[in-house]
This record gives sequence, structure tokens and C-alpha cells, in this order.
Amino acid sequence: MTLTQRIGKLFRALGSCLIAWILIRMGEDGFLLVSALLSLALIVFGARNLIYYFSMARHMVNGRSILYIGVIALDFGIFTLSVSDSHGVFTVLYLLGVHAFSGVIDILRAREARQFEAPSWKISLAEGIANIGVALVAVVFGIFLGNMRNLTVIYAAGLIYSALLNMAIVYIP
Amino acid sequence: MQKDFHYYATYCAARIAGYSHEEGQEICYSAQLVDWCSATFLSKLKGPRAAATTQLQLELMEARTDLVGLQDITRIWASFHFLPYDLHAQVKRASRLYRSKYRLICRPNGALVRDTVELAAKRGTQAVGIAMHVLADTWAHRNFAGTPSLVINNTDAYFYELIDEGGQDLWRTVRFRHSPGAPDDLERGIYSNSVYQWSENSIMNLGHGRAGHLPDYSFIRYKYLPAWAGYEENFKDNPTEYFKAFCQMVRAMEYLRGGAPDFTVDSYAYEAVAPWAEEIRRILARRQPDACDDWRALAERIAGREIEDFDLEKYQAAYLAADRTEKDKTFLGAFFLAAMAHKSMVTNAIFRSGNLLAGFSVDFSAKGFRGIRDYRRLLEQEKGDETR
Repeated sequence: MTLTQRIGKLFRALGSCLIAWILIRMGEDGFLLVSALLSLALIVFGARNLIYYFSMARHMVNGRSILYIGVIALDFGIFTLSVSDSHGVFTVLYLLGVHAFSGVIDILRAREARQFEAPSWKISLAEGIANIGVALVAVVFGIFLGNMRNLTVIYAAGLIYSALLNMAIVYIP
Repeated sequence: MQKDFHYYATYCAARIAGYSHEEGQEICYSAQLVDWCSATFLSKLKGPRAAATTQLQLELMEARTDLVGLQDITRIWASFHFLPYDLHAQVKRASRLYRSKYRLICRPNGALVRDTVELAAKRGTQAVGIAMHVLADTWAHRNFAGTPSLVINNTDAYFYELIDEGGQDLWRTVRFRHSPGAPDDLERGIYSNSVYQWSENSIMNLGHGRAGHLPDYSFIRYKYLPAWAGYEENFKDNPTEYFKAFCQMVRAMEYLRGGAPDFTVDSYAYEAVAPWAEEIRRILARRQPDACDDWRALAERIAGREIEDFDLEKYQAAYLAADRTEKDKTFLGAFFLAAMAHKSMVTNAIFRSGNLLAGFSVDFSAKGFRGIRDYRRLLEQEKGDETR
């Protein structure tokens, strides 16, 4: 990993910790802020991929996957923005869904890494299981037991855990 | 290519071209040193950093991939390991950046191969060795570019190896794994390659990393889809291509030692190589990860004496012991100057083609000395040569 990548990862991890702190401080309202940030990140990511596709990747074998990723990310970004406007519970459910989905992606990545005998599969698997676990626990506590405060804390704890994992990756030589 | 070809095969080619044993050893030493002369090696010797001809794996892991970092990487890899074939190649309806990367694709027999050989004609055995490394790699590294690029260097699951199964040729799927420490499993067709990274400028997308070591094995025959070729399948027959590389090296060295009036690309010394051709083809086709023993045996038969193994330490003490003013006259000093001259020539050609991927190149005759300080030594040497 290059120094730039390490610094980028470190800043993303610190950003996650900051969001977790805001969530704990602001409670339910913090979810609106999180969904707005998530929406912005997805829109920027999607747009960057679309630009990359039209300027470079359209010439590449299998380059269309970059187009699909760009379109899907942009679509999700816009959808997230529209969800932020609706009732708080929907926003929370949506965010937990996204969190669980990112856990599924981590597990798929771990599976692929294991197929290629890359040692990173263990950390990806741990991250995936933790993300799905956090989402499930948060749903049980928040939605079924009706305790939004606990839900917020659990979600924030999940974010801090992901950030710590990322920081650990930054410092692994 | 590996040490077997860059060191022992280059020695064989030098002797067939007419060089003496001592000259042959210096040439093959220089050819192999290209794979070792990294920033780390240069810092140990306090040599000029601009003379780096390679980057070690750990250096690459730490390399910056911002604009300046990418230019540094491109100057090294495009100059010494992936010499561009056509700096003015056209691509329909492509962005400027894509075109710039496309133009760095390496292939044999480009105009820069001729320029490389001609540049070496003015210098010593070190320059000849460097030129032979560059020339040989144009055959092995064909279709990849010496700059990080997903859209040029990526490969996908469509990758097959042609193997001999009981006297019959069969296509077998190549399986890749991302385990740099593990040796390639030639029997089962499992090879290490770099991890897929969808970031365009990731270091994982430099050169033939995505195709693993396959381009560097002389025995292998494979087909795959180069990322830039619009789904057109490419068949690479390394035993045939490596043989042509060998014959072209002999042809180039015949010219360099004054045995031929000129050097034109796409010309091969088949006649001079003929007495050894059968043995060379046998070595090239033998399925083994390292053919050093076979090539050394052939080299010793050609030379009629023992061939020294490559020893990275060999010339270091002399370079370190030399006075500041005398360093450039040592073996390593001359190697560093030859490396800088070659890098300067290739960077200048890339820059003049309107491509900034290797950075800026200032025309000394028009604007005087600007840029990287290390090149002053090269300039001083050029001036000294003119005075003499």
C-alpha cells in the first residue's frame, strides 16, 4: 500500500469515527446527516466511474463493468438523497440495509481472495460478518424493541469497529 | 525475461556476434544489472538516483502514484523493460490520456529499438548490455505498457496455456493466485499474478503484473485477451519469439562491434546462430522455471571455459573506492551514465511525441541545462567526448 493510500484510508477511518461521535451526540437526527453524506459519497463515486468509463474504460475488455458500477452507484446516491427526506425510521432502515449489504460484499470479496490464496481474506471475512452482525443487532434492538437510542449507539459502535479495522490495515507493514 | 536469458543467453549472443570472453562477460553483466539497479542499490553506492533502471517490489509498494510518481515509474519501466513500439499510434475516438497510454504499448521492432542500438554504438560494453536487455524485453513484454494502467495492462479470466499432453497440443485454463511468495506451479498451471484493482493507476496494473510471470518464461505458449485489443485474442508463442530475440541480439551486436555496416529492425542473424540453433530451441522449449543451468552449459561450450555467475557485489568496491572525479570511469560509473543516456533518449522521444506520461524533457541545445541534477554528469561526459 502506498503512502497516499494509507493516508486516504486513515482519513476515511477518522471520518467514520467522527460520524459515529455525531450520531451518539445527535441521536436519531444524526441519521439524516449520515444519509446525506452517504448520498454525496455515492454520487461522487458514481460520477467518477462514469467519467472514467467514457474517457478510458470503454476501450477496455470488460470495461462495461465500470459503466455498470458507475450507474448503480449514482442511482443509489440519488435514491439515498430521496430517502433522507422521508420519515426517520425509513432512513434508519435503509442505512442498516446498506450496512448489511456492504457486509455481504466484504464476504464475497473474502471468498474471492481465498480462491486466489490472498492472505487478506480473513480480515475481509471478519469485516463482513461484523457489518452484518451490527445491522442485525441494531434492527432487533431498535425496530423490534423500539429503542432508537440503543439502535443509534449500536450503529455508531459498528462504524467505530470498521474504522478501527481500517486503521489496523493502515499500520500492517 | 529472467537471469537465464538476460545473463547467460546474452553472453552466448555476444560471443556468437564476435565479442571476446571478457567483453561478453561485461555485456551480460550489464544486461542483468538492469534488473538490479534500483534506487535502493544506488543509495547504497551513493550513485545518481536518475540512473535507476528498475524498482524493487518493496519500492513499488511504497511508490507514489500521483503525477510525479507516475512519471518516475514510467521513465524507468518504459525505458528499460517495456520500450514503446509506436509513439504516434492512432486510436479512433479516444481521449488524449487513453491515447498517451496506448502509445506506450511495448512491441519488438519499433523505431526506438533502432535508436537504442545506435545510442549504444557510441558507448562501452555497459551500454551494449543495457541495449540488449531492452531489446530482449521488447519480445517478452510485447502488448504491455511500462506505466500503471488498468485499461492497457489488465487481463481477465480468458487465459489459456497450450500444453503438450502425450504428444498432443491441448489448451488448459491458466489459474492465477495472488500469492507473491509462492512459486508458480508449472505442472498444474497455477501462476501468481497481481491483484485486480479497478483504480486506473494502481501499481498492480504496471506492465505484465496481471499476467504474472508468464511473459518471462521462454517455454510457454498462451492465448489471452489484451485489455486494449477490442476482444481480439492474442496468441503468444514464447519459444519462437525468444529465438527471434536471440537472433536479433546477435544481429545488433554484430553491428555494435563493427562487424555489420548498419542495424535495421526486423533483421536476424539466423546464419551465425545456425550451428547452435537446435540446442537453443531445445533450451527455450524445456518446461522449467529457470533455465540458467542449460544456458550456462551452452555458454561454456561456446566459450570453451567457465562462465562466472552474476555477482551483484562484483564492481561495488571499485566504485566506492574511486575518487569523486574518477567514479564515472569505473565499471559501475560507466553503467550509470549509459543508463541515464538511454533513459534520457527514451524520455525525450516520448515527450516530443506530445506525451507527458514520462515527464518533461528539455532540449539542452535550445534551453540549456534544466531539470534533474544527476544528468549534469552525463552532460559533462558528452562534452568531454566532444573535446576529445
